[in-house]
Amino acid sequence: MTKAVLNPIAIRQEMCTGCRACEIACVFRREGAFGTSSARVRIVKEEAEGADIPFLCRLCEDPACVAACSADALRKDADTGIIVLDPAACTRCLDCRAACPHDSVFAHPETGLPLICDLCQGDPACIKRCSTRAIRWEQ
Amino acid sequence: MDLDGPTHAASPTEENLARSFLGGRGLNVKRLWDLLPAHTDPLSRDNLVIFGVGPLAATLFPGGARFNISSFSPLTGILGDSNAGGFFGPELKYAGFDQLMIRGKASHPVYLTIHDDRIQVRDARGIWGQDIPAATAAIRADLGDPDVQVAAIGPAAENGVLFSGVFANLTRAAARTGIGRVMASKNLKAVAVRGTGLVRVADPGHFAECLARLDEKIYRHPEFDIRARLGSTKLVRALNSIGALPTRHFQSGNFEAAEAVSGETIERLYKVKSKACFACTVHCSRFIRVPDPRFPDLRFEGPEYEPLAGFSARVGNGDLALALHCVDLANRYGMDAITLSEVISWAMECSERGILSRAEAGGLDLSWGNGEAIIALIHQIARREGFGDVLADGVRRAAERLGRGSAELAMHSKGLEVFQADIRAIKAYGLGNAVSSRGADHLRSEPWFEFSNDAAEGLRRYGLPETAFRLEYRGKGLVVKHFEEMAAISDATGVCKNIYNNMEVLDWNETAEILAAVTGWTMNGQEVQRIGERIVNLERLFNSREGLGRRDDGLPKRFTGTPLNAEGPSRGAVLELEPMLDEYYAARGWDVATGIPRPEKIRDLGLGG
Repeated sequence: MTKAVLNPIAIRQEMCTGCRACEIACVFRREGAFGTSSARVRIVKEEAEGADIPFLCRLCEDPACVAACSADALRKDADTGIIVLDPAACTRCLDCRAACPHDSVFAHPETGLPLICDLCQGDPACIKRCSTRAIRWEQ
Repeated sequence: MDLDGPTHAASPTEENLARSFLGGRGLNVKRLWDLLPAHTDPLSRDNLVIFGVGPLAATLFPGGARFNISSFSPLTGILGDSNAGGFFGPELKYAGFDQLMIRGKASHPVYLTIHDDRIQVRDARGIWGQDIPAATAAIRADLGDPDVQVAAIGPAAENGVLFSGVFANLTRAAARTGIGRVMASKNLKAVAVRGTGLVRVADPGHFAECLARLDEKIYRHPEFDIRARLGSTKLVRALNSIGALPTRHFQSGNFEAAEAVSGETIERLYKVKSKACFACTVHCSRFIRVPDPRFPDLRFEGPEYEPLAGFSARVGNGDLALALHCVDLANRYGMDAITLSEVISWAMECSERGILSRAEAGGLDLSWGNGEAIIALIHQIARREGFGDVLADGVRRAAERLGRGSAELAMHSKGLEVFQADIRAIKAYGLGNAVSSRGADHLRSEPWFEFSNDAAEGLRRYGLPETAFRLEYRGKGLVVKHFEEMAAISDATGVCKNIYNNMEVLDWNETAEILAAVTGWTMNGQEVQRIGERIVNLERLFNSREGLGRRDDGLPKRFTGTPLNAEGPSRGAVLELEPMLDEYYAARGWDVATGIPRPEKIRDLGLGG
């Protein structure tokens, strides 16, 4: 079982309003345009139950995505703990997605590359945009 | 989309039209005006149902979540138009569409799917008859995609209720003026949308700067906290405290059980958490669970103030769980809760006054607050059974059928029922309801400024300190003109009026700036104001083509002739409608005698020809 001891992002699901601003902020930071399908964070909604469930990279101590990559396209940065993708090496097999214990690796709808969260190099747009701090830095 | 074929075609939105009308409500009414002849039968295959999304929707603009639907209304016979939040509008935009126009009639029940540029008409015979949550779930299952956004009609529309709406995300209701009924007449159960594209903006950096300033204003707004906690349900306590909570069908402005049915009580007893529409930072919505054995599994997102007050004070009911059950029923059947609460409370007052007998009401005891009768009527209306069949056509037609002076008690204007506030005590709202282009409604103007009590600001804005006070009538023509144009911009850009109008977070120049960042158009504040003015004028022309004029800008006699029964400063208030209309038409540059735009105004706004 993968442990998430670094876990710099805390998720408080009960605070999530389901607005999906995190998704749009993520895409806007990357693409300079608005959309949701290439977001590296996702809110799964169960409307009838009022449930809004955030899915995003937990920066596992021993990341299953990195271990599952047979092309050596993923590595964990030793200093920051951020998972880094080498798109040139990636074969788009998406074994990383299958391996993620938090179901938080998604695929880019056009390139087919895995959407690996790099925490916006330490300044995550999603956290900045969350109005209830349902996703935030662990204090 | 022509459901007669079915055939469909797509084309780029014309830039000159977008610059003149923006989108949403503005561009929708322009299409109705251009494409439909006068007196189009609302339930004929010729009538259009138009979904429109504005340029700020689907961006990070807080509350940029809205879509507008427009049509000839089967309830009022004039301009039909309604607007809702949730997630449907932005999804349509991500699929690449500003507008979706539907005409014709399918040969059997269908629903429409839009997955980016792939458009399909699918069989809906299996879901026809299902309520809003069941139909929404069935469509998502059918398409195998839980992220599909669905705008659906419920059984009420299918059964012929003239005030049926279109519902997205289960409870996001575009329900005013009965366009759900128009969809049903086309055999169209729902529109399901999935958009995986991007909405590009002209200047992302500048947009981000505008957004940062907007965020600052929103988070520092004096109303942010209460709106984020209670949303519009804060109004039960607030309106009761000023004697404007419509109690027992507007017979009093104070409800003795207001606290028991207030937003604060819902928060304390039933609120699970805050909810928000697409990308909104104000999260004024709530998810509630009501553990009441009488109403098993009662849980939903909401309520908003309108249905809450409608099924409590308006019908004289102090039982909160019962009121919430009624809200849930209205949403499941897919009905306009304002109109629904009006027809029920109207019937109750008719019963109280001996105009309506118990036998005529199908044996129901229509005493104020009788929960059993209220629930029975909701079911009967939705199914058009028994006495419900009379009420299912709205209060104007119901009163025509009943006669015996009951029309005087029918609280509507132009055939659309009045919302949940006594407009004798809030006079700009009164005028706004009278002149509204879709019939009695507050959302055409939302002139919150009359609550401000800020005389200096009233003098600065409108040249009259009285404009800042709700019980004054002078100057309200100017206030309503201004707020009507703001409301039009809100509906045409695709943003929420709670933020744009009621929190007034952007002036005209700031609106122009953020629109420029999105569209790349060079635009100043005056041009934005003129777009709002153009939309309001075109809607007036649309209705005048149907034969309407000043005489139709009327309100029930109760508001203009009977002093308000309330405690405090609102006691005895009546609405000085005629002088307010004079002032309003003059401010608009319309003929004061007829209430119709003068030719020079029409030319000036580029609406001629």
